[in-house]
Amino acid sequence: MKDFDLESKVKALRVPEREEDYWQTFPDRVMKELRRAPERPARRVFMPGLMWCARLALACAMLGFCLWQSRMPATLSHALRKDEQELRQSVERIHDNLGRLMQDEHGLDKLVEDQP
Amino acid sequence: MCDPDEALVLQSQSGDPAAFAELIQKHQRMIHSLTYRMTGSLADAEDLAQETFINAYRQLGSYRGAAKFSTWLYRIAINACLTWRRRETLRRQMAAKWAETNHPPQAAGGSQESSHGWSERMQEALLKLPAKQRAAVMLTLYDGLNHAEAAEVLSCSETTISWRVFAARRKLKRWLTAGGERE
Repeated sequence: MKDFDLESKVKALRVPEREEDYWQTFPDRVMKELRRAPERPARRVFMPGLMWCARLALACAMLGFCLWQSRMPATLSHALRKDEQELRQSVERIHDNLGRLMQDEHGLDKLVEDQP
Repeated sequence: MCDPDEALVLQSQSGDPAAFAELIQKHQRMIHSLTYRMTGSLADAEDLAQETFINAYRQLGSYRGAAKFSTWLYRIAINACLTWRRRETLRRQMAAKWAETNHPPQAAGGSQESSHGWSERMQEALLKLPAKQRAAVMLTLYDGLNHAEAAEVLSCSETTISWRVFAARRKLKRWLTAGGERE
């Protein structure tokens, strides 16, 4: 079957005819339906200004979130650095105390004395 | 672009029901043809045509004349038909499932295929097409819209329209040829 044959067959397909009365009354039926559920033609309630404000607020919120996220690791690493420093100091203190313990013949007493 | 409906649209937008009734009078046949070709049923076509005009009236405030009023109306009608099609497919699936559960199929008692003429076969073949392909065929072959206009109505690219028309033609040829051989 050629394209032309197909097209002519498709075009020859008729829509069933309706009574002239149907066409005369159809607009009235639609208008009656519209009156039954009245909803005026939508006036331009859409406000582009409001949309822009909403978009700006969203952008600000996202920016704030990103900043907060980027600050999180810094806060964490600061806390970790502090812990690490304290740990180092403790280890150093133990090391000093051990040194003293080894030099002191009454080391155990000394160690006990050193306890806060 | 000069739209012959511009004055009536403006009057309708400012709340004149008579102007809108005139617009309906002017476009009702075109919309009925489209909805009938999309559904294959006079009753559904009438419901969808009515739904189209009601939706158009309610959305009239958002119409800014970027496209011709008839094109805009076409778009509303096509969307109504596509939504109807989805609802209908779902309804048929549910009915088939229900029938399968409650009345198991019996042995086929003779073929339902009657000696349909080509017109019925063509209508059946058109209804078998996927809704979007059918819409593309309706707009380009029946209503004589070019691919750019059809693309505007269906909110897709011209290439998509060309592809849908091509695919629809191929399927229609296959089905009609196969049907012809059977008879």
